[in-house]
Amino acid sequence: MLKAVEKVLELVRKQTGYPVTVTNMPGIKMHSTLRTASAVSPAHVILLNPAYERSGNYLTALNAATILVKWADPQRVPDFYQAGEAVEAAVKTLSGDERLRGEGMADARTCAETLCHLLLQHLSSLPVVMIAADWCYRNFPELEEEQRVQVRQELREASACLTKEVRERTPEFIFSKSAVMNAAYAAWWAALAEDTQALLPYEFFGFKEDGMRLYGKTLGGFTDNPNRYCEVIDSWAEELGLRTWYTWQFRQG
Amino acid sequence: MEPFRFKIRYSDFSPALLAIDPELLRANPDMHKKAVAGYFQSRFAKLGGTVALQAGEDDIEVQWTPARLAGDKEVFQKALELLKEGAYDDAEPLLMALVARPECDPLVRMNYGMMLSDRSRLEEALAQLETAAEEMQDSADVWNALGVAYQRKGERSKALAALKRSNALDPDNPYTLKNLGSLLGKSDPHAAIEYFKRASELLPKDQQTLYFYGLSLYNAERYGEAVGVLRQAIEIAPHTETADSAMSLSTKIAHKNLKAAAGGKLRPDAVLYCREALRKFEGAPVEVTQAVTFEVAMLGRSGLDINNADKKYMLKSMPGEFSGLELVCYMYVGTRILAPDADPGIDLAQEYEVALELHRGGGGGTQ
Repeated sequence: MLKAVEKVLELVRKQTGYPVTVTNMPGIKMHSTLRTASAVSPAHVILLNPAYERSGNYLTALNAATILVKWADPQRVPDFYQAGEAVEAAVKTLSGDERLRGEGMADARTCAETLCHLLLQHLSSLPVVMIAADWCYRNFPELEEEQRVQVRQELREASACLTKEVRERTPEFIFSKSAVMNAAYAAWWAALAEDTQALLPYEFFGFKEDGMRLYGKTLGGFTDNPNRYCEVIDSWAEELGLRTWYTWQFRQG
Repeated sequence: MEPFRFKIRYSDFSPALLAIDPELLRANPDMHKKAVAGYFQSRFAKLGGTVALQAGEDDIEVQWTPARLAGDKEVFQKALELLKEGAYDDAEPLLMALVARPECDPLVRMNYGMMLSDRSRLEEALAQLETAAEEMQDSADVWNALGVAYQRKGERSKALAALKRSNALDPDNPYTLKNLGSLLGKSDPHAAIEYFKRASELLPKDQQTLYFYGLSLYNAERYGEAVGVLRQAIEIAPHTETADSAMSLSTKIAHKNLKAAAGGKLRPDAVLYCREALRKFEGAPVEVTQAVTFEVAMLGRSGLDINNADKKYMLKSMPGEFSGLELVCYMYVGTRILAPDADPGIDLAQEYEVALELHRGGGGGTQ
């Protein structure tokens, strides 16, 4: 583990009062996952997918930095909860979408529920990941090469969602909101790392402008603003028309 | 100077250079062309001078006239500087332009191949390095680089042949000696030791070489010699990752010596500590086990004094004061619970089994 990463883990311990454990976990679907600490689980746990070991230092620092954003005020740690009513209404509408009724599709309602859940997961993580990743880029140049490899990989995977096959099987409502969020991520990286081609797929399919608008709302750090975590997610949700889909609950860390 | 002019087929352009899904690009040829053109436009513009692109149906012609750099040698020097800084993205277009020259210096090809190899683009790396090796058959460096790329690709016999050829050309090339040592580390530890030994004589201040020399001695169970070499490695720069690894290995040897001191027999104190750890972790959330195990492992990286019974360590994740051996037992038990297949770094298997039996049986417990 690079010294820079140990430094971030130490910052988390100082700010939150809990240590961070980092474990390689074969078989997880994501590149990495994070479970933040609570009174009954007195450690933050970062699980790394060994398939992405090449970016292990960066992924550890990134996850630790997202803890710093979320726990900016350890007395008031926000948790994101799916709101029943609004999501249920969307599930009902989406269940009738012909794209979920294609041959070989599982039950349309289950598909709609899963898609809504994934959309919210995207909303609750991506803007914060951008803030944390931006902080890593600016503060830890020794991680830049790993970050470049990892973000390019993520952008490649995200742009794969724009293929015709995915579009034909995804309701437009979900497809477009997800694409706009991915466009914001591409816009951030294109501006930061001069990787100008990252935005091209979104420009090609007409999501660039909306993505740039979301990106604009993500600018600005978190170190002086303990509400940044909720603020940035709320601002994206407003823009995407998803503000009624979730609620915040706060707990003492 | 003569402008750089080269053509590249869209299908030959490495997808690793773009943050776009290759399938999406294949399905949208216009996007693919625009992405490749954009790549060259932005990269060469950043380097200064003028760029002209001629996009064809299957390929694109790039013409770059540098503003400041006077000749190929200067461009190559600039590329080497960028590689040294780790600015691979900026160095690559320069190397691409240079290798496109009909009279390209094979040294350029070798450096481009090494860069691609370091970035795990092994097919592309081998294409460059194999050509460079054909053009510089007497260069130990190119055979060494080729050996490394083959090794990374998992082609062990080709790697060995290339490295041996490098070694025959220059028996005192320390990098080849080091790579031969790494390649043979497991299959022929005695040969590996000889290669590392010579490499460490040639590079006495290279921490990695000393660490791997120590590791090869450890693998050959020559613990006494290993400890001395590892100590030298740590002294070179005590606060690096390699120093941490050397420290862990030294601790591992200390653990082995601990068993040896007990004549290879069961350590009753370790049994008791393992049993205590089993009690502590039973029923506790997995995160507690993780936190304690992780913290002890981190602490162990700077060396735990396990041959001293004094309780002089404290943890953030668990109240109380502990001896070095006690903490190592907690780590051992935690690792067995969390990742039974992982190597806990110390052999307390016997003690653990006895502790587990006592724990399950509840004999003498304080429930």
